[in-house]
Amino acid sequence: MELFNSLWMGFGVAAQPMNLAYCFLGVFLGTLVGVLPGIGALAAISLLLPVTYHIPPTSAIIMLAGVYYGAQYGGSTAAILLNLPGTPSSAVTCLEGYPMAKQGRAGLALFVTTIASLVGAMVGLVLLVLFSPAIADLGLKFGPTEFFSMMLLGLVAASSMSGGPAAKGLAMVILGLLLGTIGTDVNSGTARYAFDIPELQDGINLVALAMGLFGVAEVVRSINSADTHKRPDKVPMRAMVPSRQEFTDTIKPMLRGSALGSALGALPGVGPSIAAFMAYAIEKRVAKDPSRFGQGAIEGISAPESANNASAQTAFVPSLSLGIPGDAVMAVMLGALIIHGIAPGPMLISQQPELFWGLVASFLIGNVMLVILNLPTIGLWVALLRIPFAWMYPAILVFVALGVYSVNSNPFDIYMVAALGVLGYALMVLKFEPAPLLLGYILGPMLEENLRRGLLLSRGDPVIFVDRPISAALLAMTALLLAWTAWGTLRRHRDGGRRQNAPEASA
Amino acid sequence: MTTRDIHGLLGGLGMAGAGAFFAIHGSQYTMGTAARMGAGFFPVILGWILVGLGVLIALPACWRRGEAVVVQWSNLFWSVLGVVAFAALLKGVGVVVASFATCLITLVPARMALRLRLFVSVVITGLTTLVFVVGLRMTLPIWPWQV
Repeated sequence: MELFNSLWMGFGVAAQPMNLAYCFLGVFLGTLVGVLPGIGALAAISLLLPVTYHIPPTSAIIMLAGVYYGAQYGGSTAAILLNLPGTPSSAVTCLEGYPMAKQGRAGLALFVTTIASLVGAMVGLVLLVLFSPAIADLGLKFGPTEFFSMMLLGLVAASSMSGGPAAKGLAMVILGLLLGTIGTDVNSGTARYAFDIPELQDGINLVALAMGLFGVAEVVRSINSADTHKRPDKVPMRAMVPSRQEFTDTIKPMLRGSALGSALGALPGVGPSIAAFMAYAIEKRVAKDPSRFGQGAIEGISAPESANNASAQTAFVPSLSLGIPGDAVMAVMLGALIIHGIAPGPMLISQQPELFWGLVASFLIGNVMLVILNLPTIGLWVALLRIPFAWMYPAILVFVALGVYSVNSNPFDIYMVAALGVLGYALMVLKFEPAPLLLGYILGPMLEENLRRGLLLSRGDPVIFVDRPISAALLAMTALLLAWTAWGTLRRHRDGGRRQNAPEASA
Repeated sequence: MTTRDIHGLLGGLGMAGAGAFFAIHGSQYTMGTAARMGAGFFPVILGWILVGLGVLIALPACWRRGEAVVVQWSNLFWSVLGVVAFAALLKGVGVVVASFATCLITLVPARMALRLRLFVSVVITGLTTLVFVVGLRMTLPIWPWQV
């Protein structure tokens, strides 16, 4: 019954008025950026990072997490009404959601996605509560070799799952690792790649990197893209209530989607997007009449939506129990904890029980808030989609500049954002996925430190990484994954240009 | 319109260049041995790996067809200029003038009437000041005469 005591304590923390307020702010902003195409959860969380410097770490992480799962709810709204995914993970929802809207069933689609999101999140949450402490116990036995191999697996998985050619994803990870080495080396005190610029001796600012890559670059891309000028129709509340038949039709897909999403979410590198795509594919396969898909099949929205929300919850398992983020958003959130002097790792749950259990309890509260935010107030979000993007993007740029300035009160960081924005846009234009770069940047120093410690223990013999069973198993998985993606790339080359225009799944 | 796969070619060469930079510039730091890694060990090895990956990306792209590269130069120029202008102006004339200038600069590529442009800029400047100075209590120069 220790579990219930811990949960009870967690609710005590999460129900404090200040934490409730930050939780609400988080899920509200998450829904907002989820609804708006062009700005995603990662950009919003990076924008909020400077704010978290001034509030207690538990409130900070509750708010940032709220943005993350709130965006999963909001993303489906734009997908259904405008055929535009508000977040990458809701791209699948467009396939069935938009045809439903064209048939006048937009209200029903919005209702079903919200309920599916809630079901998925709850299933993911239960697994998070049950497994995180156990995995953290296992993690306590980890030495530097296991951590190194685990991070390597995470990085390779993130790069090969991000869509596009595997070599490009791997290059992004390596570039991120290299950017992470900029600054003073903790062991020797050497300032690496600092060029006698004092600001660079502290390394590239995480906030500047995240905002440059995701804030500035996204704005540049979307300023006058035609799709931001679409206007949605109004959605009456009464159209939302499903019939008994429609309701029973969605229960099984929701449960299948939740199970799949929770399983995939806990794996490193597999984000909500992939979970949603796979859930859709499975529904299409098990359907009695697959021809309905593409014409507004209701299970085609309920399964992916529950899958992406379930994976958004279980994505916290490796981050909180081992300190190893599975994707870039998790990496930024752990970055926020590090800023507050809290070391992520297997000790986190036992050393910071208020933080862990408070966060878990806030998920429950936040998801209930999201249902309330997304159902009766849907009109508000629809109205928001009617605002042209040109009215908003200058504000994003000003907020980016002031936000990054507020970290150190140094204009150098704003120039840095401008430079990194150019880099981010160049990567976007050349079809490189920037998320693995950010993951590499945050894991880089940890990866180097564990490699160094591992090799110090073995006196320079790399065999130590395959000598220890857990580490060997993780490395074998990494090798398999590399071989699999390399084989996929080779096959694509043999097929020639025919597969060039295959849809890209972005994490 | 299809040409050679410029995305892969440029991107691969760029990655190889970045890798070579990190590897060559990093070789001035102590390498150390595997047992006692110096500051240069990790970045130099990664740099050469990146060179290899860059070549792997660029080579097959040479004889593959792809789409032309589309760059929104005007968006990029005005957005970045707006951010740079903010950095340059903030300490000199205060947050109100800096935000207003940044809004006007970044709005250049948008299709919008002049009056609407000014209106949007005023609203955003007001919001920014409210959120950061009043809401978050950041200590910033607000007006030009307070600097």
